[in-house]
Amino acid sequence: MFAWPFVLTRSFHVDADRPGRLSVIVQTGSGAVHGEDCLTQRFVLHPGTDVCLTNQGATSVHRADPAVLATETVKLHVSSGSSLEYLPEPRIMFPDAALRQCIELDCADDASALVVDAFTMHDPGGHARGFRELESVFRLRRSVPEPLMVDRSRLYRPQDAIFRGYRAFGSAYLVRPSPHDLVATQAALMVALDEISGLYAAASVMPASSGLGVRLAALDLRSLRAAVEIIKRAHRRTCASAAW
Amino acid sequence: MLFDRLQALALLQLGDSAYPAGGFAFSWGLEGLAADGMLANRNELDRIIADQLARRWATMDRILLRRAFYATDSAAIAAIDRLAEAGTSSAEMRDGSRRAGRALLGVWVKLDGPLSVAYRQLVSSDARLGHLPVAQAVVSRDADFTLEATELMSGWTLVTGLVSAAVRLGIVGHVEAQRSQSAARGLLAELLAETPPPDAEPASFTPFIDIAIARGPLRHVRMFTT
Repeated sequence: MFAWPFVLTRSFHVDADRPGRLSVIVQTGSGAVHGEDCLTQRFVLHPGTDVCLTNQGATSVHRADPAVLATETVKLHVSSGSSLEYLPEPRIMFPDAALRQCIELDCADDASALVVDAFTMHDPGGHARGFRELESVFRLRRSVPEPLMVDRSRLYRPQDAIFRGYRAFGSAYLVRPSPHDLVATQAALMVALDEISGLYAAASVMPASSGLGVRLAALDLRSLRAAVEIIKRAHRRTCASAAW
Repeated sequence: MLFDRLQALALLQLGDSAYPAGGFAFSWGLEGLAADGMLANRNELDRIIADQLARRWATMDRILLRRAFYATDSAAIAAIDRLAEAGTSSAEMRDGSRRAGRALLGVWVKLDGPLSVAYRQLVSSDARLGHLPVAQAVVSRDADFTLEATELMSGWTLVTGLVSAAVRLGIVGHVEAQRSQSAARGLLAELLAETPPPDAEPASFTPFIDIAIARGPLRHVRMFTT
């Protein structure tokens, strides 16, 4: 089921390395997030499903009036034996934009997921005016009601100086079925990410050894996208080597 | 407000960087940022202290500390401790926070603080527990601190720990360190003047510090745990 502003057309099998993986592109008719938008998405992967979920492109978040803000909630349910990649393009925060977003991932113990959440900033007037507010929450549950991880970042009227000249920030969460390969994947990721120019990044083991969290700070979107591509490849390698 | 000499003296005792809870072992990202070329002088140190105070301590540690200060019993405190664990994405930061918190709690167990003794039993049985802001709330209750004194002690020990680490790393000298502490004192007072909303959830935005700490295992030589 879908409704304005979201549009789903046909999905594709485009990955030669894993022909069973379905690529799904969620499109939005509005093309952007506006001041008072209240958006919700819910995806359920049934057992044994393999899906790469993305959107049509970087989403602009436009200004909100002082008393309002936009909200977006994404609920992802990944059933036993499934694999999900949730790779939306980064948000573009415009001057005076205000957004609170939450990604809720409920991932079965033997399933895997890669979730990316990133943003950049842009002032069309070229005056370096900043956004008003951004709160971003990633909440992970695995078979028990108490969350294993609640990664909540919040910025309110940030001064440009706190970004140190970096323009794109993000987090990636690789949720794995078992912790046995985490340290090796972490080490390989750190080496690969270090080779990207204009990127400051690190991977670390998430609470309860549920996977790896990667923090990304990039001088521009190009460096951030390069990092996401490396993380995606690492995720796919670990999925391919898993015994399922 | 009347000046409470006994509480002020107790604050000086707990806020002292020589307090035997192992605070000297943590740089909370300073060592990593210096190694990565992002911290070389006092201006940058002041900016990082401001980041730590305004975008992590005030919005995350302080929120956890306030909740633990008012928690009804050890089980309720443990629930807040688990939230601290779940809310800290980096393993190196979680480990540092637990080590610092457990060391502080250990001192107060030896001093026979009743809540510290009771809570330590739970901490011993659950590897997720013992985070620093929660332990600070527990020992402050044993020390009969007010919430205001507890927050002040928590924020100030962060500042003294950061500045002390910067001196030992050779980033600033002793006089510049005092200037940094004075600047941080003003910011901490501003932050403490605002009461967080009762429904505030722990949050932070310190990507550079998070990354610097998480890159710790890559470094061949380290002076500090974090």
